[in-house]
Amino acid sequence: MFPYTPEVLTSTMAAFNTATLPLAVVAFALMLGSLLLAAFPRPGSGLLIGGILAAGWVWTAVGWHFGPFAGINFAGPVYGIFFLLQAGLILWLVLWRGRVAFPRGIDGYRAVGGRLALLALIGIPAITPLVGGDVAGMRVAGMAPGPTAVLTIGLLLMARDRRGRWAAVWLAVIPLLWCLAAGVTAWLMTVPEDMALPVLGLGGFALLIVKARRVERGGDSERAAP
Amino acid sequence: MMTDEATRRGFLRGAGTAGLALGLGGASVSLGGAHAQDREAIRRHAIPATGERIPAIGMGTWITFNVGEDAAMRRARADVLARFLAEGGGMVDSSPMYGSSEAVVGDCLDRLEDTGGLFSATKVWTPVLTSGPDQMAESRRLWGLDRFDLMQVHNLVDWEEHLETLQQDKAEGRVRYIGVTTSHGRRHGELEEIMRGQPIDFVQLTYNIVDREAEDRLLPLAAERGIAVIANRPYRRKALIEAFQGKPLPDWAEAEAGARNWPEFLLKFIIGHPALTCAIPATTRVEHMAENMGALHGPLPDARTRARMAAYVEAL
Ligand SMILES: NC(=O)c1ccc[n+]([C@@H]2O[C@H](COP(=O)([O-])OP(=O)(O)OC[C@H]3O[C@@H](n4cnc5c(N)ncnc54)[C@H](OP(=O)(O)O)[C@@H]3O)[C@@H](O)[C@H]2O)c1
Repeated sequence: MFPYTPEVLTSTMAAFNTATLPLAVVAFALMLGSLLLAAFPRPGSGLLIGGILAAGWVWTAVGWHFGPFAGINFAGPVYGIFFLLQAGLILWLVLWRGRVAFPRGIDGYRAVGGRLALLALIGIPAITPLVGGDVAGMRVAGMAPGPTAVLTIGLLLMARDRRGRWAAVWLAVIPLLWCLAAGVTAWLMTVPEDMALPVLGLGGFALLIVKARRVERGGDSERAAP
Repeated sequence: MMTDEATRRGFLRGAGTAGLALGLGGASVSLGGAHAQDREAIRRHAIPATGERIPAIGMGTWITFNVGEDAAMRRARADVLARFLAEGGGMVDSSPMYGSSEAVVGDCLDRLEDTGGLFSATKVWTPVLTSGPDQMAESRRLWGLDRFDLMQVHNLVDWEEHLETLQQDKAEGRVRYIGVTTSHGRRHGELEEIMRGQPIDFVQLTYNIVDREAEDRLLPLAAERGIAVIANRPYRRKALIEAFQGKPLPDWAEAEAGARNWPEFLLKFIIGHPALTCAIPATTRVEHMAENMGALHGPLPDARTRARMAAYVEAL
């Protein structure tokens, strides 16, 4: 049982986007920047991407979950805590331990990851106006939880674990959980923006596991690394 | 007046046209809003603890009033509340668990000229790290009231602790009646214990034409103990309306049950139970509110007709 309607959710998101303008634009630019950095990596890309992603998770927690979302859903702060935890994980594993790097070149995982990230950046926000919702209520990565989670999984698919272990998979657990939770809610309540999240999240997560296992065995992805 | 709203802005402002309730035995006369000229008798039921009579149809706010900051939706809800009060409605039930509902109710009350008939009912709900007294103070602030007519422990959460506070609040005038709530047929055993052992004025539970477990023990117990009963989920959150809307009402519905449409049929079944004080359907729409308030008029079904109503619905 959810205490609000999809209409109220979009209206609350619209109020959040509008009240924090130009943050939605800045968030979009930063998140797009992170995708470009992942696609065309330079020295230090990993750190920058980690910093941008962590900032997105912190802002989604503080700005959205503890903010207007908590106003319509008492569970908002609980989700917020998980989002802060994810930001902490990113800071720890990506920035502090330097475990995640972005290789040059293209392989299947990076191609899928890039597409997932594009879906998060452009596809998910486009759903709101496409289904007749208020443009201001678009779900923007770095502001709204769904696209932030999908973008994170996409970028992780584009990354390489420096020690060939499972850091990327661990970093995708909370995003996956969000995709599942929001997806179930979306199907029960008919929230079109979040309906594809379970498929995107599960698909991305499964690929991350396959990739991690292959890398562990010294497979293709590792060879594609710089 | 049923509620002490001395500090509510606009109280005196609207007093001239207020839904003025004059207790006249079984049914009372409401001179209010849209029906001011009609002077229609509306159905009131007594709160056993005091004999005070309140309109037998109230209003819920779960989901329906949780509209956040949306200005257009807030205006629309103010229209719903205005219609409710104008039709002689009294009890508005909310909870801190309902997101922005309390804030929206307070905002809507502020927009109305006349809130004289309001019977304010909310809840205390403290899942984690929340202080009951602080939460209740916040609810008073959100509604713009000095005191609530009814404060309930939501879903029996921390009820031992809260009932102590509520008794003290009642003694000190921060609330007039106290009670506990549950729903979906949950924790009826514990509810029964509370009803037997605690000095509560109200109990709120799920009761409708298909969810009737309460009839076995809880409703008779409420009657025996002199506890007022609020029925929540009267439409099973719209499921009953959706299930029956396209189906014909029985041809005896109006003559025997006083019901001209499905909402009246479903609500009259509930408030026709002798232990029932009030049913609290929630709606976002003025026309639905008008339909619901229709159940305050005309005769109520007796026990035999109620059994017939339940059997009819079961056969559908
Ligand atoms: N544990 C607790 O304390 C507890 C638990 C549950 C409920 N409650 C209280 O009880 C209240 C009522 O329960 P509820 O809100 O769950 O469900 P409900 O009142 O049984 O059903 C509400 C639904 O019925 C529809 N409706 C109302 N009047 C209608 C009409 N005349 N024609 C067609 N549809 C109509 C509304 O849709 P429209 O908006 O389209 O009219 C709304 O979706 C709650 O709001 C809450 O205050 C308390």
